[in-house]
Formats: sequence, structure tokens, C-alpha cells
Amino acid sequence: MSRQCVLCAAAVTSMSVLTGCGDGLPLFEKIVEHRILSAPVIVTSPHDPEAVPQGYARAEALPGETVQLSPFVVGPDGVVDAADLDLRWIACELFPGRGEFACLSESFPQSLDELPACDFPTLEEVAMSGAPADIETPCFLGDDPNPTFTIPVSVGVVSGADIELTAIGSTPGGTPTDRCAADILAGKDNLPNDCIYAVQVASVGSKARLIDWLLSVGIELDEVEAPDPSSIDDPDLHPRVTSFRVSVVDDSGKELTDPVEVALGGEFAAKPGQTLRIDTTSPESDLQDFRIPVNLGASLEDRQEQYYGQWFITWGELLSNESLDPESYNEWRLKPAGDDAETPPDGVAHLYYVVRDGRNGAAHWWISLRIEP
Amino acid sequence: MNMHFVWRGSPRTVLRPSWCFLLGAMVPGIAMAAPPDQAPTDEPDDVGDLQPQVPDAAPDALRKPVLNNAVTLEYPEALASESNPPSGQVVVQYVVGVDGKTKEIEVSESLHPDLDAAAVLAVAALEYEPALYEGEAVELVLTIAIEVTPPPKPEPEPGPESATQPAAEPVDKSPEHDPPGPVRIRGIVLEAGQRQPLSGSIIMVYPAKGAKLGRVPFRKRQPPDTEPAWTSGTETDQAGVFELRDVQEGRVRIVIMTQGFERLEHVVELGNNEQLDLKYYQVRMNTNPYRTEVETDADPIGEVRRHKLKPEELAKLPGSNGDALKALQDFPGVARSPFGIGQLTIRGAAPGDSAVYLGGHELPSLFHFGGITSVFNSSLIEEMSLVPGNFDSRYGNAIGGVVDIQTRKGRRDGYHGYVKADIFDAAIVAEGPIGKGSFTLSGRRSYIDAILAVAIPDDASLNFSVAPRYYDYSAAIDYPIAGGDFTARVLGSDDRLALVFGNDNDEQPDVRGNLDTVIWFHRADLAYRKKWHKWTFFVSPSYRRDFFSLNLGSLFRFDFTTDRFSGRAEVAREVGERSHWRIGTEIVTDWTAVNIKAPPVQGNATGPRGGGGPEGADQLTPLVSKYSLFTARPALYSTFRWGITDRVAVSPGFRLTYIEGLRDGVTFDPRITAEVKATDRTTVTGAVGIYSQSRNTPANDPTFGNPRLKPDQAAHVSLGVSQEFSDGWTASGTGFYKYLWSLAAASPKLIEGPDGQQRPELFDNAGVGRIYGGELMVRKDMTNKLYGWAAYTVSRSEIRQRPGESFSLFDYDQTHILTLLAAYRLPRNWQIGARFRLASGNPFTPDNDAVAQLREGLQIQIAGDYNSSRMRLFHQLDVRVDKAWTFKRVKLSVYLDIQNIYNAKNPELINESWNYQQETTVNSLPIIPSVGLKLDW
Repeated sequence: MSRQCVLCAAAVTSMSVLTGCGDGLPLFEKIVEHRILSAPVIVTSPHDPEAVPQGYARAEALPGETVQLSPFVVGPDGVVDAADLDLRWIACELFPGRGEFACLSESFPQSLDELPACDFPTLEEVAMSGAPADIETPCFLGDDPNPTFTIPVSVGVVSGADIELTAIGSTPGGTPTDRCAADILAGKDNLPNDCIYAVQVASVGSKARLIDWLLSVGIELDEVEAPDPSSIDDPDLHPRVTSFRVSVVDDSGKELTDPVEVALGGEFAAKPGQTLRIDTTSPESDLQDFRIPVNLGASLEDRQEQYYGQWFITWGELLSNESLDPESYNEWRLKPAGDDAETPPDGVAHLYYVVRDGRNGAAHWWISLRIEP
Repeated sequence: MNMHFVWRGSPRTVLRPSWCFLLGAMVPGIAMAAPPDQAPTDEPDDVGDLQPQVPDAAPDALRKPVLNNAVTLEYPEALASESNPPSGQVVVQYVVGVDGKTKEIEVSESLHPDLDAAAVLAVAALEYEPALYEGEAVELVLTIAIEVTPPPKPEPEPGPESATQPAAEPVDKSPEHDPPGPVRIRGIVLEAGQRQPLSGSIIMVYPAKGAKLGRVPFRKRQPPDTEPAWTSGTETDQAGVFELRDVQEGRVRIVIMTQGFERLEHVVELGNNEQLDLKYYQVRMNTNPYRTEVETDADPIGEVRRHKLKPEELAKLPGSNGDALKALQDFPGVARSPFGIGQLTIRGAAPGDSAVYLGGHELPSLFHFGGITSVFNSSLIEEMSLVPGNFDSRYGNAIGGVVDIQTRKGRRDGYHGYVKADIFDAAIVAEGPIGKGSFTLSGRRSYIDAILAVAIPDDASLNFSVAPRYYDYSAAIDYPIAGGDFTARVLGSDDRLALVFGNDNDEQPDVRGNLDTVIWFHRADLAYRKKWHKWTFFVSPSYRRDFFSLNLGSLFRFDFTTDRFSGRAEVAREVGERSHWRIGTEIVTDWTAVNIKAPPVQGNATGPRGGGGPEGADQLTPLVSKYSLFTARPALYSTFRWGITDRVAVSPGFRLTYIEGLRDGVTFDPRITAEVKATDRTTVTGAVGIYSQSRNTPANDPTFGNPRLKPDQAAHVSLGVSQEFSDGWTASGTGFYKYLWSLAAASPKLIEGPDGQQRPELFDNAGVGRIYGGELMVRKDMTNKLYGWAAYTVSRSEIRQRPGESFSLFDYDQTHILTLLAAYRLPRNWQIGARFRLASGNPFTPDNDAVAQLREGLQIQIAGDYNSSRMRLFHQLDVRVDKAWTFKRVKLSVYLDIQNIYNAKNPELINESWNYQQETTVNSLPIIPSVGLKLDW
């Protein structure tokens, strides 16, 4: 991008903000239809279980480890079973240098019928052959709403590829999933609005850990040296939500009731017109340090994870739809906003919260709110 | 009645027709013809050394033409015999050729067809010694205002009682015949607002018995009803001083007439044996009919279309905010930029494809961010040219167009300057003589940061931690050395902006909501130009340091620091009478420190767009690229203009460039231009040329792109016709075609990396483009009251990313661009102007849906065909009003510039919903008035 273009982009950005953008468009935080908010990839059978601290789950895997995706699906009436979306999962080897969805989109046009079933070689099969195997991707992983699979010991993965996972589904009662799949795989750009498309990545690594493990299991790598043990980062872990407290506040933010811990999926009662304050904690100590390559891996630079929280509601109004702090809070005004009805359906509204760590980790929480007159 | 032009006997004397006609009308019979045998001398006569009136901006090395003869103009008898014969002013514009003959005689202000014809015939008979510029004869455009008064009606036949009395002889009071006496009135005439002496002003004095003392208002100025008892007259000398000796005591009227200035009349009282010392300030006329055009600075090697612009024409145009460089965007071939930001999209080329030169070296950018104003004060510009294509071999490393800015020297007629303020910034300029040379100083600083701090509501989710602010400066010294011109110049610019997009629930500040950008450059030049006989030499070294930084939260970081050493040397020679040869070299060396952090590019349902990271990188984390880069681009160029005949010329040329360190290669760019003067006013020009460019972009970054990319290249073809009409009107039409190849394009291929491993190529040189269209322009130059132009461009700009794909519209395609722009000078220093623009909307790629990216909680848009949609037609009317007051020592100017006066709602951007399933538009800026003040001294 030329300097002139960057200057222009900065100017246009400022102009857009100053002239007021976003008017009349649906709010990101308002859940009015089924949506997949997150799908953390959890390593369910690590090679070294003792290396995972108690209460934590690993967010990046090594070849031969089994992972499971757990989509967090929500709707206007609460959390939804992923099975209701009739999901189809497609896996693809995502080579270094590609962003999410690049692997599958490069194969367009095609169809579900043309996709081969995923046939990932196991560690035992690789050990017998003595070398990683080529796998055919993209491939059809299945229609299990919470798919489980083993990271393949493939040539691509050994070279540094991750596994891109694309979910195609549909809103119950809406366009059939097969139609949704046919349209997107054909490369169409105008898709039915009630189709659901999402992409996640099963991260393999870090590179140093991968090389160390490959060498440890006897897989030979041309011109690759064993990494210095001090350069092997700890595996990426999912963050946690350790506290979710709700209280009633007045217009100035002063608490009118004591904060109450609300469990995952728990219920809280309040009156219409009130404002709730929600405080959540994700421990700052859970933020991990890691290193990123500089100049084609010639050197490494230190980075630290950072929390990024997203807030969603089915009724009412939020002070903000995101938060950036380990100790975050939000305010939920219990009055109709935008296209809301006077009261939520059956008098119950829902709040969903997803926190990410800036790498592969994610955690979520949700509560229900009963509006009592 | 005869009226004579007079030659006052000095080689530097030039006729002052207005004075002579008036005097002749008032005192019939006085014929002030020069003695035919009086040879011209170098000694000034008693009334001072008379000089032609030349505007202040004329170069010092100009010697004005010298009139050699006297001409008689007869007031037509048929007209004189009418009951009310016409009187007034005939303004005639003509050219004094290099042979001293007058030509291109045109009546600018008509009085009566018969008087016009007589004036033309009289001017046609004038003979001069031609004007000289640096010793070479040059053509000079002169304009004279001839006051014409009909001869008085013959007196009735005298009665019998007076028959024996001899007719009273008119008293001849001309200085040549009176014995020299004491000085009775001494005075000086200065220009109001500038305090500069006016030489060559005509001073006339005659009795004013019974008139009221003081200045005579305009409405009360009338010639005397009867023939004055006496008159006296003279002219001011170089110092603006005049002396009158043969003035009788009593109340007298002093009339001061100077070419291009408002007439001044005062009534004063002269006592017995008294000497009056007077000082007068004359106001320059709004419609200055006197303008000098010096052709010797024009580059004899031209292009098909070079729009030469005078800053004084453009600074008062609507939408310019007093910045002449912003008016570049109103010329044909230049696309409209959204929100009026200052990007120059010339003939469909990307802004980075064009180059901006100032003093022979490139500027990194032309406008302060946002396009509010240019980085160089346009009042210090001598001339600027826009060459939209087929530019000469002197310019390189560009495949679009060229803007060439030539700065002017400081004034040597005293210390001058101005202070200026509008809603965005304040500026100051100072200039004056220094020894034999001159200096200029300028400085500008914005205060929009203070205004925004007040204007933005406290509860806005937008906070400027550093409100947008900019400044720029320049300082230059021009000095004649060894027969040439030496220039030392420094200039620089600094833009900063920092935004914080905060959330209302933030517990502590977080850099992820930050946007900040810093862009500055500082440059120092030396230049020496010398003309020696038929040779012209030019050499100029330059040093520039740039810094560019853009940070967007923790997502993007771009830091570039560049030290550039560049040098240019040229030798040119006139070959014969019609040919010209120029050869030169330009060397540009850059040391750049690069620090980039950015995420890889996302995929897309319609295909990948390339980009991303290297082997071994975890593509889920930002990619970092840090390195230093040395690049060198020495170039040799030459153009030979071969004047085959007086009307046909061919200019072949080439530019040979060696590129090291960035898109390495050797480029040989041949170019040729042919020009045919079908008539004296009609010129047909055609050109073909090859152009190359090697730019540092993310596409050739070692981490984000492919460092083995080759230079972009283009072939330009254009054919144009220009037609000059009278009174400053010109019309031109140009057809153009450009083919671009070797463009950086996203590549899906895998290549072998430096370590032997397979890695994505990311970018290659497979992109091609084509741009074609036509431009029409009808233009009225600033000669009198009206100036402006109508410009229309129709074009198409297309690009093809991969072989086998179809062409798509380029991001900067604007099929139709119509600009109607005019400014009109009203009396009393008022000026109004208007600009109407109609332009096709910019193309864009529609996004109709999205894939949820679950790792970060974002959305990956599913785009339609590249640039398959287009914004609505853009239309806008801007209006501007200027008013100036000229006082004795200063001049105050005020303007009101109202943009988008009928508040058109033109969509500029598409604003998508979070899932790209719905959209609204972000419209252009609403009606915005801006006010400016300027104080000149």
C-alpha cells in the first residue's frame, strides 16, 4: 500500500467515523437468529497429559493427538444444540502463508459429493511406512455436530500446515444444509441468508514443539535440526472464565444490590427498566507468553496474549459489545431497544459472552435473565 | 484632429498613449513629435528615465522593448461630426515580436468600431527594438489603454468687433520650451498595498479654480469644460518620483495615470513661491490588462498534453481553499477522489503510479493527509505542470502521470510577504532581496486539532489522543553566480494523527483501539543552472529523509524510515534554429529501514487474493518483517527535438535505468513525440513511449510478498489536437491508450524458497492492465475578467490478475468526469467563482455474505466479482466569493468558499452490516463553508 493510499485510508476512516457510520444496520451484539459464536478446538488425548495443568485444556495439537470441536451455538431463545443446525464439516490442510478459509476456497467450484471422506493416517500407519503420508484435502470430515478427529501425520502437517475446519449448516426450518453447501462450494457469492457458515483452525504446533516431537518419534526431517529446548514454548492453552457476577445498578452505575455469582447457564431475575452490571474475570495469569518468527524465522520476538471479550444479548441494550480487560464488566439495560418487543419472549432474555486470548484459545459463558414485572 | 504618439528622446522611452491622447485632446495643435534627427542617447532626459510598466513578477533580466517611431492616429471625421461623438478607452493587446514589429493585435475593450480600427492601424505601425531577456530577443505581450476624446467642436465665427484682434495663441507650456524654473511640485507615486514606486506614471496638472481640495471621487471626474489656461505634465522616474516646475500658484488638479492602475485625481493648493511635496498611492486595477509572458523558460521539448498552470489562476478557484495544487484535481484526466482527499489518480492509474517533482526531485507526497492542503506553499510556485501521460525522458520511475512544480525566486523589489488563516491552518510567507539574489521563507501550521477537540462530543466513541495536525515549511535562497542561477533550498512537512477507539466499559487504556500515523519528510537541495550561448547546464544534488508510520491497534504496524540521496545533471544545447538536444542523468539511492507487522490475508469464496506469511510461521499470529534495504536507480536519459521544418518536429528520446536492490533489473524506455503545427494556432501532437516503475510495496516484501518481483511497465500512446483562439481561449482534445504489464498480482503457486523448501510465491508479475479514453478541455486563461475551463474525460481502466481471467475494472476507474469551473472578476476587487463536478462513481466489489471466523470472532466476507459494482453518480456544486481591500501599505483579502452548496448526498463508501447481508452508504461531506483571511504587504 503506497503512503498516499495509507494517508487516504486514515483520512477516510476518520471521515466515516465523523460522518456517522452504522446507522440502521443490525447490531453485532443482538442475537436474532442462530449463530455459532465460537468452536474451541480442545486436545482430548494429548501425548503428554501430565504437561497440561489441572483445569486447563490445550488449544493446539501435535500430529497423532485427538481433538474435538465444541461449537457454542446460540439463538434468540437461548443456547442451541449444535445438532439442530445439521452441520457438515470439511477439513483442509492449511499451509503456512494462508489465512483461514483460503484452503477450501481455492478448491471452488465443487460439491459435497465430490469431496472424498477424510482419511487421515494414524501414527501407527506412519510408523510402519516410515514417512508421513500425503492426504487428499479438502475432504469431508462428517456431520457430527461435535466432530472428533486425530491430527494426521501428513506431509503437509509435518511441513507446518494446520487443519482448516469449515462448518456448513442451516437455521432450523430454513434452507436445507445441502443447498447451503452446494451454493458455497460452487463459488456463489450471494448465499441464502439463513445458511450458517463458519471456519475454525486446528492449530498444529508450535513449530519448535512439532519438530521436537517428530524427531522424538523417529520421523526424519531433511536439513532440520533439533530445536533448542529453551526455544520450545509451552503449549497454547484455552483461557478460563473464573467468575461471572451480576448486580443491579442505578443510572450512574452505583450498585443497588450485591453482586451475585451466576453459574454457567444460570438464571438471574430483574425488573424491566433496571440496569444490570455484569463483571467477569479471566485471570491475567492465564495470559501466556509466546514467540513469533521474524524475517522468515531468522529470529523470534516475544509477545503476550491479550484478552478480547465479545458480548451478545437477545433483548435490551448493552453498554458495549466488547471488552479488553482481564477484569471486564458490562452494563445491560433492561428496556426494549431497536426492533425489540416490549418484553422478551416468555419474559426471558439471554446473555452470551465469549473471551479469546489472541491466539487459539477461547472460553464462553452464558446466563438467562427472567424479567419480572 | 491629430493625436500623436511621442518619443521623448531616450532609448528607454516608451510611449504612454493614454497621456498623449488626453493631452492632445485637451490642447489641440500641440504635436509632441520627436525631432526626427535626434538620435537616441543613453542619458536620461530631464523628466526622468521612462520605463515600460512591467508587473512585479517579471524576471529581473528583462529589458523592455524600445519604441523607435511616432505614429499618428486620426479621429474619424465622420464620427467627430456626430452630435455626441464617442469618447472613452480603447484597450488594445498586441505582441512585440523578436523583429520589433507588432503583431497579433486585438482589441480587448472596444469603444467604437471605427475607433477600434483606427487604434489597431496605429498600433500596427509601431516599431520597436525588441525586448531582451538575458541578452536574447523575446516576444513581449503588451496591452495599452488609449483614452480617446473627440476633438472639441469648432468655435462659432467671431463677431465683427473682434475681427481685428488676433486669435489667442495657446500658451505652450511644454517643458521643452519653458526656461527651467524652480520645482513647484515634487512627489512620489507608490503602489497601494505594496509600497513599490511606480515608474512611467503620467502626471498632469492644470488649474482647478473653485474645485474642492482633496481627492476627486470617481463620479466627479470630468474633463474641464473649457480649455485650461495652462497645463503641465511629466512622468515618474525609476524611483517613482516626479517634479513639476511650470505650475502656477493657486488651486490645481493633479491627475495621475499609470498603466494597470486606477486613475487618481487630487486637488491641491499651491501657494506663492511654495513647493509642495506629495505622496500618492495608486491601486492596481482588478482587471490588470498588462501581463507579460516570458517564453524563454519554456521547455522546448514538449509533450502531447502538458497543462501549464499559473498559481495565481488557481488559488482563488472554488474548492481550492487557496491552494493552487488542489486545483490539479479539476483538470481532465484526473479522477475525483472520495471526500476530496488528495490522491492524484491520473488517467486511471493508481496514485502511487504517478510522480510529483519539485525542483527536479520527487516529493514523497503532495498533500497533507486528508488532502486538506498541499505540503508546499503554492504562492512560491512559479509554474506547475500536469502531464497525464507520455511524459519526457527526464521523468522516470512512474507509469502514470507526472506533476512538475517549479518554484519561483523571491521578489527583489523590497521585502514582502503575507499572513493567511482559514478554518484549517495559518501560514506566513516572507521574501525579499539578499545581496544580488533573493530569499523566500514560508511556514504553515494547522489548528484543526484544536477545532476537533471542541467539535467532537465527549460521548463519542472516538477520541483523538493526537488530533490531526500538520505543518510544513520551506526556505530558499536564489543567487546569481558566474552568470548562472544558484539555489539552496530546504523544505519539509510533518503530519500526525492518533485516534483512540475506546469502549465505554474499558477499565484501562488498550492500544488495540488505537490508530496512529506519523508521516514526515525533510529535504535539502542545491541547484545551479547556467545558460551559456547555446548551451544550458543544470546540476542539482538533494538529500531527503522520510518517516512513515501507521499503527492500527495490535493488528498492523508499518514503519518505514528512508534516507534518500538523489542527484540530477543535465546538459542541453540548441541545434540549429529549430532543434534542441538534452541529455541528463538522475541517480536515486535509498536506505530504508522497514518494520512491518500484519496478519496474513484471509481466503475468499471466489478465490484467494494472495499474501500471507512465510514457511515456518504460524499463520494464526501476526507476521513480522524487519530489515534494511538499499536501493539504487541510476538513470541516463536523453531527448532530441528535431525541428524538421518550422511546423514539424519529432522528439525521440530514451531513458535507461539500472535498478539495484528492489525489483532488480535494467529498463530501457524509448519514447518519441511528434508535433505538427497545422496552423499558427493549431497543433497536432502524438507520442508513444515505454515507462517503468520500481516501487517498494508489500508485494515485494520478503515476508509478505515476493522480493524477486520485476518492475511494473507500461506503454503509452496518445494523440492530441490543440487550438488557440483569441482572447486567451484554447481548446484541446486528446485520445490515449495505455497498456500495463509486469504488474504485481496475487499468485497461488508454490516455489522453492532460499532454503530449498517449498513456499508460496504470494505475488508474481502476471498482472496486466489497459487504460484508454479521451479528454476534452476548453480553457480561458487569466487575461481579463473571466477565466476557467470545462473539462471532460471518458475513460476505462481495467486490470487482469491472472492469465486466462477476464479483465475487471480497476479500483480507480471513473468512466465519466465532467468539471465546469469559472471565476469572474467584478469591480472593486470582488471575484466570484463556481465549480460543478459530475463524475461516475468508483467501482467496488460487492460483499453479500460472510463466513464466521471463529478463532478471532470476526467475519470473512464472501465477495462478488471483483469491482463488479459501482457507486452512484457523483455531482456537486461549489461556490466561492473573494473580496480584497487595498490600503496604502497592505492588502487584505477575504474569501468564503462553500462546498456542496446544494448539499448533495453522494455515496462515497459502502457500510456493511456485521454479516455483510445488509448495507448502507457513507455519504460525501455535506455543505461546508470555509472562510479565509490573507494580509499581504
